[in-house]
Amino acid sequence: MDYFPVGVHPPHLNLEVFLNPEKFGVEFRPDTMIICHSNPIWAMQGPREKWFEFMKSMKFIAVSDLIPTETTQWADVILPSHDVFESWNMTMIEPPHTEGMCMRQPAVEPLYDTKSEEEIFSELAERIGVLDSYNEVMNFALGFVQKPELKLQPGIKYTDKEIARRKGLLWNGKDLDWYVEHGHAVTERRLDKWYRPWEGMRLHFYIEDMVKVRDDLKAKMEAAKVPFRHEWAWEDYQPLPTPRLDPVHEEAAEYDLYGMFYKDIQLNFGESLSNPWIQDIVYRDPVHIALMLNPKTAEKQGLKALDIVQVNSPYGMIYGRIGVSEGWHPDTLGVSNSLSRAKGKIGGVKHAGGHFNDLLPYDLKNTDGVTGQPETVCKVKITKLPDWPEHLRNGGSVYDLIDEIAKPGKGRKH
Amino acid sequence: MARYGMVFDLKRCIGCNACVIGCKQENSLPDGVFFTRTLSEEYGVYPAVNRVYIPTLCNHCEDAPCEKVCPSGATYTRPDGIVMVDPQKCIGCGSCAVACPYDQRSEMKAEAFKDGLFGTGELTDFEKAGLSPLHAGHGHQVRFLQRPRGCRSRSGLCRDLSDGCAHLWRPRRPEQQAEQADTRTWRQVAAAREKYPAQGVLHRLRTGAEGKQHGCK
Repeated sequence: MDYFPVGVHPPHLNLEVFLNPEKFGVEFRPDTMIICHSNPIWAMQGPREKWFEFMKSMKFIAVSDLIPTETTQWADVILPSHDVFESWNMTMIEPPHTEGMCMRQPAVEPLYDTKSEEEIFSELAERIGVLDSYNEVMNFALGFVQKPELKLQPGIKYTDKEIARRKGLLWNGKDLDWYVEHGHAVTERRLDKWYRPWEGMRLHFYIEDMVKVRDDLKAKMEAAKVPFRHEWAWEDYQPLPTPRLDPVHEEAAEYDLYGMFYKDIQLNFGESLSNPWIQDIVYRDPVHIALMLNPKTAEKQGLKALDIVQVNSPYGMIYGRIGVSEGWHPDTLGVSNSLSRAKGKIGGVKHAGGHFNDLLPYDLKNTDGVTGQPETVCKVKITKLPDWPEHLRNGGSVYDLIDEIAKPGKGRKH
Repeated sequence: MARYGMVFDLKRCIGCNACVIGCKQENSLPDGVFFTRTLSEEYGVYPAVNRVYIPTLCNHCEDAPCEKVCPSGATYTRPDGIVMVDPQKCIGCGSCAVACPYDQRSEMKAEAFKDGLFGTGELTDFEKAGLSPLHAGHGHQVRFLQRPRGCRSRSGLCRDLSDGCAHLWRPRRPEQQAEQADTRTWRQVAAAREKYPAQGVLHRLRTGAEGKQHGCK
């Protein structure tokens, strides 16, 4: 956050920092990992093998989640949490034009011995011996410091319901029963809370802050002799809307297509594939079972539908089978998120020919200096293969399942 | 007696497959068995290309082909036009699955019951409860209005899910019944969508047999 003025924590750089601790001034090796509702083994860009090394270096991993994922398989301890139908929550709706709190209340009894995230982390904080500090941090994070009577008190563990109640009280002074009756408290934003109201409601054309932030950060990095200060993307800090050539366009000419991933309405990021009903429809959809090319591009590359190929980017490679669609831009190769799950013991989830994120860069050069956002497109080249590589032959992959579906009168075909 | 017809507003269908999932969930269907499917077809050439979606399920055809080929009389049409299957009479010959022009008859393979949704050979409590009305080795189609009025019918879920969206169950009006010979191919539907962009197109499922040859899924 200190480095990226308008960004959030860029998790893809964790791997870069792990691999180059001296460069990033890391003087200790983290050996414990607590993960909450996240599946970094699947979601992060960069080679899976490097991420596996990262995870292997941990002495202890605890994961809180509500479904088994690639990451929960690495956990020493799994902390099963409530899902959205089992827990309380109060959350701010998206500004800019309206604002307010929306309440969520349980619709069903929690299953088994699951707990809400609030209870899990309070419990963890108490057992580690940091509950007082944890509550104090939560007071700042949730804004309870604005009303001292709502502040979480030292030594007390709070439930999701109590946290939701206090967030509602903080917003409009109404208790939980009011929210249960009304559902939400949403109002139009006051004009003075709109973006830069002191400028007459107009967006800045020349965003001077960018220059100030750049100069300030530059001076601090220089003073601290930050090792990577010379490769920082200072040119990203533009006060005017200025087109800049994305580094992805400057890759070697042999990478002649743009590789990109896509999701679909029933697929979100691919995680819903652990639901067998969703899997049952997704793997029957032609756009989710192949690496997609425009028919003219395929012809130009000497490829046709169902050809087995190897796809290389400057950073990694995957295998797959070609599909064609007129809906695809002629300069691109499309990889559905349905093909990017990792092999594991998760019921029903199948691996394909590798993860699209393996193809993506995960370095500073391809990270926006202002927002910390990583590049999500890469340049690729395609090589036709005579057959699947050894590890994908009869390996229970997505492609085996698709072939099984296609057989008349067999298995899941009806 | 009122006869029922299924009406789809194709202008509003975005191919989300929520109706397919809802149907599988409500009927507790094993892997690979569908009582509702969303067919799709791509048309046009880049960059003027689009995809049309058509939710498809048992259309309760008049003069139903599945009834005509059923050797045991398990398939029958009720006076109100609803095509039903009597599982006690079904011998699992699969003739109805071959005859159905919309590919909407499903044969329950024994292994689908054995393997379970997760393919582990272990059935969840949900599956154990839901699979009981289904019979391995028998032909099935969507169970329509099997519960008394006042209860939430099994078929009601598709309307609940798509309330304000694509599906509506309505009694057929006389003029609709008169249009029964009017069938449309997917491309005609696509053309109709272009022709009536503002009000949307109500595609009335008829007794015609054009779905199968264009089915993508």
